[in-house]
Amino acid sequence: MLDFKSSFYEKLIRSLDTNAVLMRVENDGRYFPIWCSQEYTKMMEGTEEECIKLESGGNMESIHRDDRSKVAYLFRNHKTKTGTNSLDIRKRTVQGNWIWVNVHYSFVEEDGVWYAFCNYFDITDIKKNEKQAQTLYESARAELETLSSDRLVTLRLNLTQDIVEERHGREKYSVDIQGKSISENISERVKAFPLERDRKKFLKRFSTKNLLKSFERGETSITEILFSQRPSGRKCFVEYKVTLSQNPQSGDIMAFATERDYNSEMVNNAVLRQVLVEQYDMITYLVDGIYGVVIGDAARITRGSIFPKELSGDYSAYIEKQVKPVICGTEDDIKKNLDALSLESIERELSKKSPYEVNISCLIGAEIFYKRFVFYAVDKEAKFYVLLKSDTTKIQREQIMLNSQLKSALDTANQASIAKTAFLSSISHEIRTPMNAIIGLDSIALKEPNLSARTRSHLRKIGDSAKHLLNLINDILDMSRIESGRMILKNEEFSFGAMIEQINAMVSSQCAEKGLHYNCNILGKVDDFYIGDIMKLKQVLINILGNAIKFTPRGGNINFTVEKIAQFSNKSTLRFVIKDTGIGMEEKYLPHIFDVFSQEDSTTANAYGGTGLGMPITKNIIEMMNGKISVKSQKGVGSEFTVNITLRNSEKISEIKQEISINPGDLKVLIIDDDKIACEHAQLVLQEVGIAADTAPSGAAALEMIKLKSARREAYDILLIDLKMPVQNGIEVTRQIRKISGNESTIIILTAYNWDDVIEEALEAGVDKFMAKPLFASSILSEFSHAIEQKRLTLVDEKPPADLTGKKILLAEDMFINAEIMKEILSMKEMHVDHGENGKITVELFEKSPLHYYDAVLMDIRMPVMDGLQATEAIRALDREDAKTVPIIAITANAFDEDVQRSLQAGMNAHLSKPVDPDKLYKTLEEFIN
Amino acid sequence: MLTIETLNEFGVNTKEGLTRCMNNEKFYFKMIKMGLASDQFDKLGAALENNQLDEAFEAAHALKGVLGNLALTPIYTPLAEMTELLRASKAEDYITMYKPILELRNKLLAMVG
Repeated sequence: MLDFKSSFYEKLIRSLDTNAVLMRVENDGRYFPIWCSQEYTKMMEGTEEECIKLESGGNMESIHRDDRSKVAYLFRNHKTKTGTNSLDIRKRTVQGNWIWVNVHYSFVEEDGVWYAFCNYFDITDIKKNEKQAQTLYESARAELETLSSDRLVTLRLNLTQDIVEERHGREKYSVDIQGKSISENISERVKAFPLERDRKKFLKRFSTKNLLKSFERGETSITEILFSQRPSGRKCFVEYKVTLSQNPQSGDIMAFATERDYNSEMVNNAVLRQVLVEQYDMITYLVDGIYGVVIGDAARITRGSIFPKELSGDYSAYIEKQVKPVICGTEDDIKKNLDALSLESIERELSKKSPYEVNISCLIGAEIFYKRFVFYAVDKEAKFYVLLKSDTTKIQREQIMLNSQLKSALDTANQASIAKTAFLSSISHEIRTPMNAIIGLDSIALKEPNLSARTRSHLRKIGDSAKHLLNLINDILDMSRIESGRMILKNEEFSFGAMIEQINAMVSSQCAEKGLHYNCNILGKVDDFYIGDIMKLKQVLINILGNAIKFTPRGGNINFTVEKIAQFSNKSTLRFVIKDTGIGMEEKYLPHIFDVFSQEDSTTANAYGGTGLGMPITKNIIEMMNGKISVKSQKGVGSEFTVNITLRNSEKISEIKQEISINPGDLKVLIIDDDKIACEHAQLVLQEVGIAADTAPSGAAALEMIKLKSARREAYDILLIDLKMPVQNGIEVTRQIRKISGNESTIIILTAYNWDDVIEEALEAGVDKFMAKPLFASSILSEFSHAIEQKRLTLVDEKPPADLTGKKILLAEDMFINAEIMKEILSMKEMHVDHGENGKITVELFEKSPLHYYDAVLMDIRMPVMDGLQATEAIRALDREDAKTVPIIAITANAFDEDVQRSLQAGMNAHLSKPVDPDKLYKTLEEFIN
Repeated sequence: MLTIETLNEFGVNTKEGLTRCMNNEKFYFKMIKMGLASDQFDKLGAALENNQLDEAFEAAHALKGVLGNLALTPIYTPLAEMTELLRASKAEDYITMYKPILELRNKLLAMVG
């Protein structure tokens, strides 16, 4: 195939550009590539073989369709054709990409065979630029030819030829310059600008010479805003814009000039600028960490300036040099604000939302100035931002002043409110103390058997008035507690059923007294236990029910409905509806029903009584519980109150109801009060409900009594202790009681004073509850049972009782029968009993026993030879480890306090009286052996 | 024959007494028999005859404990009263006071058989 002389072509190839292909050419013009250079294969994106194969046999697939005829013509006529053998053609590479190439073909003959040597240049880039230039040129032309309303004149100027090629536009000057020389007519053109300033500017920028220079410098667009006078005589701003480009065909430099009405833009810009200047002392753009001031004048900021010293520069450097040194605030604030102003923060925040605002304060010349930086993202992807900086000092200072005025006003109001609360609180208690005496003495006086009907009536009225006054004071105190935020809600488990029962008992008796029909319904399933503040809830419901009773005439109905309306996670919402057929209220009064001291008309208070605080307190308490109260009413028809309260569910299940019904006769109560009248009154009130209470005039006396009771294993259930007592106050007494008799009794502090201040100390000392003086028979039982119930709940965790099985008991008893019975009782619990018939034998038995053999000694007191007291002393005096610790319990028919005292003095631990109750004995043994 | 019912009729708090005897009726009756047969009754009677009030108190007190244990209320109550008077060494007509107590005790003892 390769039948040419290699020496000749080798020389040729080496001497020429290597991007080349050698082809054999047939007479009919078909060609066959024989060889191609490395450079060529690279350009064609293939191997040598692939490149040769691509065009073998004159295959023109790899040449652009439009260029094939040119190539084919050349190859067919190479022998006869004159002129250049150079073509610009588009070729497809092996990979299928189109490229522009310039090919120079050299045809040579060797032994009658023609060869073509094709030398290639890749001109793709050149062609592309050319195309771009053409596109640009065409678009500028197109722009020139489209006329818009604000375009006054458009011109196509050939700067190279110095000729106005084309002119369009709705305004015509006296001389038509189309086709004329630019420079010759420019002086005429300049006349259209009335100001010398603009004429100079126009000539400087738009003379042919200067435009050509601009083009050489690479400028393609020049714009000036000029003030001009139109042919019609109208004066306006124009935007004179010239776009420069080279005609790709002729190579001439062309200028496309447009003249546009610029009045509205001038106005807009002027106004906008003015507004911006007013609003912001600086507007800059921010890109790549570089800022450039667009609007802003350092001279305008006379004081407290952080205006950048350079109109453009590095943003971070500006912050570092001009902001950081003056920024003020706490160390944290400064750090936070500088961080907020960092480029990273700006970028991060603007990527989320725009605008992004940072407010800082700066200490400049001993004055604080407030600055606001607002960043906008103009183009998020390009990270091109705008920063608007403004000085908010004036606004801030006004705000600060306003705030401080508000604060001082608020302080004054708060102080007034605190003073009012303190006053109300103290006056309430000051009044309560004498009220206590009045009510107490009144009820004592009423017990006198020989009272005349008249006196009795007077005493009753005194009592009623005093009770009303006391209610008023209590309400005021409640209100002041609510207002001062000192009312605390408890969260305790309570029996809902028991609460409703208590309410019903109270309300139904009052209704019966007044001749009203009372009906209570529980709809659906309501749990037996909830967690909340039972006392407050009860107060609320009784208050509303009390009102219903008060405002419903004889023969009317009162309906109380309870319903669970929602249950979610661990809470339940309960609805209480109290509906009466009472006097009702006018609709216009309804919004005021919860206002303090409001009753529909002033005569109501006289007719029905009441403090005017009940409903506001009710509403406040309900709101504190996150509940809601609403009311519907119609004059003469009745009222309906709806209370919705959400309570926490209790895990306690109703089936294991631990109903504690207290039997007043069984309650052991001790009243401790230095005030004799108060003591007597309390005793009287308790007597009314069937409780026989002991009294003690001082803490010391009480302690003695408690000690004895404790030894008898008959501890008081409830101790009512006055708070204010000489020598020891109620809390101190409580502390001592807890020390000697443990946590058994329920201790209630009774006081006419506000206990808010001492409640913490009191609870710590072991107080269980507070009650206000004076006591009332109506509420005392429920209060007591509630207190005892709470107490029992807290006592659950006490240590478990000892197992008595197998315990060894030493019994001292001279009476055989008693001993037999005691043995029987003890053996029931499988205890082992040793019996000593008198004290002496008992001591000997103990002495002989191994160490810690006996778990307890039961000691009769009256015995022949040696009595129980002596025996106890003897045992305690023994020189052995367990002599001091073994529990010795007196079992005796001697039941007087002196006897108990003697037993304790002899060293006994407890004193049980005969006849002994087996359960009590077991309990005592369990406790002491433990 | 002494039964719970008859004891109840006499005003004995058998319920309490039985409780103390762990509801063991047989044991209770045995104890009652022993209690009623106690020589302390004779001791008390003799001491009163001889106006030995201290000894009388000792005996009365001992009996009080026993009777209380057995809940023999109709005997126990007057005896307890007497015991307190003796304890206070009060000069009373103890012999007259003791008479109905002793009679009732003898009656019950006869029934126990």
